[in-house]
Amino acid sequence: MKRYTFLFVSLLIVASLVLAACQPAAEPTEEPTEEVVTEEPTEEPTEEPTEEPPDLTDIIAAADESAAAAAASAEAAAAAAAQAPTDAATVADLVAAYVPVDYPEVALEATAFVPDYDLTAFPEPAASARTGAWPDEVIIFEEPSSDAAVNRLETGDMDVYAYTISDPEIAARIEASDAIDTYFSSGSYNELTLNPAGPIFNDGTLNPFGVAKMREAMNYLVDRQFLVDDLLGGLGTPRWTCLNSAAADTASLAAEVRALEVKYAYDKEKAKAIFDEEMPKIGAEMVDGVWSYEGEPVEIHMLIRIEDERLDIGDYVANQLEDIGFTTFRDYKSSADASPIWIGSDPAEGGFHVYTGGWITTAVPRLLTDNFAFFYTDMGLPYPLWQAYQNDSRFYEISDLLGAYNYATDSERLALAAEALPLSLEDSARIWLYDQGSITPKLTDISVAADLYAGVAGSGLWAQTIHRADENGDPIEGGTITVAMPSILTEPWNPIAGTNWVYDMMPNRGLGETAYSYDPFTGLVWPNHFESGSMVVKTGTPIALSLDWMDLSFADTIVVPGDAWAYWDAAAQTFMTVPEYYTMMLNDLPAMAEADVAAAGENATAAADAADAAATAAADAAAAADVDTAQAAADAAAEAATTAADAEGAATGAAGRIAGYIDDVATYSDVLANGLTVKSVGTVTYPDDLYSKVKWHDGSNFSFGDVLMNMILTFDRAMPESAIYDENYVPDFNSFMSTFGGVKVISTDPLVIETYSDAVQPDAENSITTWWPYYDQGTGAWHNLSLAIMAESEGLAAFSSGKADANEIPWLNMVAGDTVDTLKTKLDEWAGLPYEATMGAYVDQAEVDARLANLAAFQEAYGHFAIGTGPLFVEAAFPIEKSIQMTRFEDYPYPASRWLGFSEAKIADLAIDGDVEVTIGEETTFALTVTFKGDPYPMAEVDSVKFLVLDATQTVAVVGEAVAVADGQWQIVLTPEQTGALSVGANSLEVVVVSKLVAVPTAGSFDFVSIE
Amino acid sequence: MAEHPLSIEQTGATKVSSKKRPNAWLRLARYTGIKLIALAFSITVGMYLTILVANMGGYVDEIMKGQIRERISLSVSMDPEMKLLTQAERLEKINAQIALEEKRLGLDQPFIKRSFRFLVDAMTLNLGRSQQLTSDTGSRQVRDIILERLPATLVMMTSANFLLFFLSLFYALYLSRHYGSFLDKMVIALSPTSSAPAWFYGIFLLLIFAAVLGWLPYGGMVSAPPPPEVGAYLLDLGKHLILPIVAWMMAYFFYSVYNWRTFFLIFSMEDYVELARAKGLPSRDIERRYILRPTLPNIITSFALMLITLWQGATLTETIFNWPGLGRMIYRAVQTFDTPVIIGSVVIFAYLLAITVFSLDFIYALVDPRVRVGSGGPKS
Repeated sequence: MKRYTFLFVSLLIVASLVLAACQPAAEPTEEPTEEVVTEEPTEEPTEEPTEEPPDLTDIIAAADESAAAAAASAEAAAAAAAQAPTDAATVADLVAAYVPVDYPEVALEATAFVPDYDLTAFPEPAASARTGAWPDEVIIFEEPSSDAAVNRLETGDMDVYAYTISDPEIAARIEASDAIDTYFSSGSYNELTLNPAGPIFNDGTLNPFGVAKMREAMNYLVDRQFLVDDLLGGLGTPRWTCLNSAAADTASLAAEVRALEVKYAYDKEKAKAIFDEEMPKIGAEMVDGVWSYEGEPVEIHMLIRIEDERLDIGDYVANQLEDIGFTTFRDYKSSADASPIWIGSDPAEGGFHVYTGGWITTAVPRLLTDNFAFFYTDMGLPYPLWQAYQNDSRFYEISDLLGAYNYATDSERLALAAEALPLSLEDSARIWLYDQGSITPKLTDISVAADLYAGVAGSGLWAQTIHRADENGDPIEGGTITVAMPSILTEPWNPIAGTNWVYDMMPNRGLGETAYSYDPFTGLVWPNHFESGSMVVKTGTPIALSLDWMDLSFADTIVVPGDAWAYWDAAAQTFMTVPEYYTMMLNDLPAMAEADVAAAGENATAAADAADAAATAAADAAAAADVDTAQAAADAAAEAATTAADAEGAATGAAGRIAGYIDDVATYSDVLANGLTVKSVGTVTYPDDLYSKVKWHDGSNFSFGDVLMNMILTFDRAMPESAIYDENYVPDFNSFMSTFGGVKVISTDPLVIETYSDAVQPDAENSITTWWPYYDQGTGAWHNLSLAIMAESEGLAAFSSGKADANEIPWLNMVAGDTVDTLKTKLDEWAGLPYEATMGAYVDQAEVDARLANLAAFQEAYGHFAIGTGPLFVEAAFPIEKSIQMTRFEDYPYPASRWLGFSEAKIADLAIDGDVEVTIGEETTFALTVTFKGDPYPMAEVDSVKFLVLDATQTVAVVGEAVAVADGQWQIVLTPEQTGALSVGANSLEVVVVSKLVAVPTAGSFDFVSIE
Repeated sequence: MAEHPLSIEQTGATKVSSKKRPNAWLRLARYTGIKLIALAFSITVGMYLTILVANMGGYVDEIMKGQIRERISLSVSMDPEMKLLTQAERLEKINAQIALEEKRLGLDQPFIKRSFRFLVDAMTLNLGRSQQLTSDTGSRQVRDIILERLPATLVMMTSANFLLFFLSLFYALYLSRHYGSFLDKMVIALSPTSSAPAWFYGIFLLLIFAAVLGWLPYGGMVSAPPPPEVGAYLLDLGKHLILPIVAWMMAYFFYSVYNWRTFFLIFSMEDYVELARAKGLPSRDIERRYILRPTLPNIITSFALMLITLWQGATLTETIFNWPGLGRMIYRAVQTFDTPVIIGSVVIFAYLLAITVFSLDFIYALVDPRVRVGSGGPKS
């Protein structure tokens, strides 16, 4: 009997759960006690939510409406389908009438840019006989616990913990340790995302933050310094604007930013006064010290993230709001739970009032002025929150200009940003709180280049610079250095679309390297493998030049040469030149138009059928005897109307495309006749001895085939005709093609490549395209990639996770696992050079034989196929035991000391001296001493020294730049006119030193009294 | 218990009784069939409940869609190269990537449909592919992910639990013979130490033996890099096992001894034991034949259930000792809503449990003559 009872109960549970699962997913309502009174945004909620039976007349009217809409859709679809053949015929006629012409050769007429300032030179390295890495061996292993890592550092069980720690308690332990030193980095920052909808939500409740004034008032309500001191233990910097504190833009706009910091300093009473003034304007009233709206307390829904210090931020802000008369609902949620609410739901639904947001920047930002458009306007993201932003017209206009890089010069950009900054605070869709600092701990005798934003784990130069120093601070050659990270070997390694985990990418960057290296302190690039570079950009394009290795020129017109490769023919496995590509596209248009004519016709028919169905359903509804029958018919009519609308969309879309083809004929014809114009051409020149100097880890010499393989794979994986087509790559490829013009190999030995593109970075240095075979996720030679290509072609493995999942085949791992055996099989069964039609022209049989032999020997010795050209190679990887043994690559060509200049960020120290009493109307001078580790900071390395004077009323009275006197010595002179503008009282001189070598500005202040 | 004394005579009676029932095999087959059906049904129900719970009745789809949207949108928007595209181009890329990722994770299909597919796959032990996790060597097959972690878990958990089980069992037997002795009182006094879990002791052990004394490693399964020779590797593995096993023993040894000791004491006070003592049988014989044997079903049950709990690992202890076991894997799967991995580990546990429960009935019958399969319980 018990068995049957159990059976019955089990069945009951399953049935009820199945039914529950069939229901639509529950809306993330946060307040279970609050009922949604009505679905329509009516002003007055119904007193009693009684269920009234729907009116038959209304149902019939709704059905008629659906039928009418369906009929209209069918009519529009029919019209589109009727127009389509005519347009298609036009396309065919135009293409048929096209007379081929020779593609023009337009000489490039460029004017060299001659800067009127000093360009920064590469820090000269000390001489070193040793090449490659300083240590003989680097052992990387997993240590998930920061606490344990600190213990292990203290006992010498590891040398570096490559993780950015921001926990104040652990940071304090590290600070107290004599054995441990740290690298400081930033990049993570927190803010309060305010819901801008309303001020009345759809459910009739009040949203004070629908009013800009009250959003702005939140700036006064939050004590940022308290948050930094109390929550972060001082490991952070208060922040008021959308510009990161450690960035060149912030330094350039230091005066404007400082003025806003003063204006929006913590002032709870001021915040309260603004709310007291504004709340009654939207119908709220204070009842017994609590803000109320229509008899109910105004409850602020705080959506609080729980994973980090944002939990405390949420509580703090909620407390502050309660102090000024609000009630709060603290809704604690994880990222996964909060995401559908803050980013996914319509703000007007009132899913939250305040969300504790967090962001991260993983590389030193070169330009931040597009943040206005991203964070404050509907240009940011296509999601409901962003689309709810409504801005002051001037602010929107400036944001648009800055977001679209629509300015001519850098000074114009900064002027726009200076104007946008105060407007952004008035908007205050977000309340910026602080930039969080993090530390990477390491033993005191260890040095390594740490990125200012990404720490050691994200550094591109860690392998080249990591070393143990002797008592004099000089690098020690040899030995072993141990590096721990929170996780390692998390996902498969392959250079095309393998692991993207930051801790897998760190060893990958030691294994392989790009043709350039990012400066870890400025974010600009320095040549690594190439010798020189130049950029020619279209006149009027905003672009900056900072480093001396780059030549910059401007030209009115830049035309892609006719012999440049613009596309890839995956069937023939050859590149197409610009005229070939555009001729093909032109000739394809009639067939594409015909296909769209058919699509338009089919969809018009579908729309007509749906309209008929809707009409029938409407008639059924009208004839129905009861409400239920009528409702069912009305629902059917509505469904048919939706089908008709979809079909209409497809039909008009197809017709629209055909109309677009007419324009395309003109565009392509124009390109073929007058040449393809682009915004820039970059030229990269490699050294003469590249092919003999640079070697792969298996001993193979670097060759042009490696570069060529990169060019081919850039295209081939996106082509449906390709054996390694991957739909997951298509979005990236489309983005690439939207700016790509063409690539021309001027010479293979020495290697010189020109790349034509519309993508121009704000810095000329960072715009260079090298085609070095460093792919999205690491480095690869043509020969080890060939094995992987063969494996993917045969469906044995796939580069990308998406393709592997779709085909239920392994995700390619070149360093461990079963796919290494697959690659070994492909090596043993070598099927010939892939892309023979193109590669065969540059890679001869001798090279093929040599490389295969080298790779086989390497695999035999080390058991994997992950090779690179970097200073370390993978001696052994232990995926289960979670460790990697990396050994110095003895054939690495460059001196170990080459990048030592980047082992330490040259952040300046500043001391200010002057009279503490200044007589109003008299000249006064302040002396500034700028040093690094006690030595004068060379003038040539200082970008600017700016100052401002805040008077007794905390108003910016004077703004200016200091004057250089000597290395490390600067002077500020306040003229009689400037001191005359001060009133009696205490003043503050604020100084910001901006270095050319590091993006972190140094700030200092000096207090003085102005007397009469 | 006193009503069911075990005697040769009664066992013989049982045999006679069996002979009087020519349909014994039929009854056994019927019992087995019903039992199997009931277990299969329980597993099915349990698995579907697991699928529903792991997916929050389908709400996980919304969460994952939100996460995908957020992750892709922000990564595209913050990418300096993507900033050079027009807003429409950026949007097109974002939407295309979101669609691909949703398709990869199966989110383009209704949850209810997928839930039944999950169920069928689980019941047929087609563990399939994970959605987020990969095995350490890079495989997305749930089977590989589990099998790769299984040895590590077995090494630690089997060593710890076997030691715990047998040491506590025999020590408890010893104490049951020395009731009221100093050692017995000590065990009673120390049994509350089990109120703290193994990971708690693990923290202190690491602090003392790794951080302060430096005698033993901080964690992990082997040193980095692992010793290349097999002998050295095993020694290294043993060295890394010491602290987790000690922590496990500290947490559960006294409690376990106390448990068994009390259990044995109850049995040692049975009438037939007293009778055996009165007959003057040696204490070894009494212990073996009159105490240990009738308690064998309980010991076997406890042992069998202990064996299958090894399957689940010990999440926190593995985390503290950075041990690459199944517990941490399951925890990560839950964190990332990796339904196939969660289902894979649960279904294997469910099958193991079912097989154990099913087998125990027969084992009871083998080791305890009072028990007969299909009789509905011990004969009175």
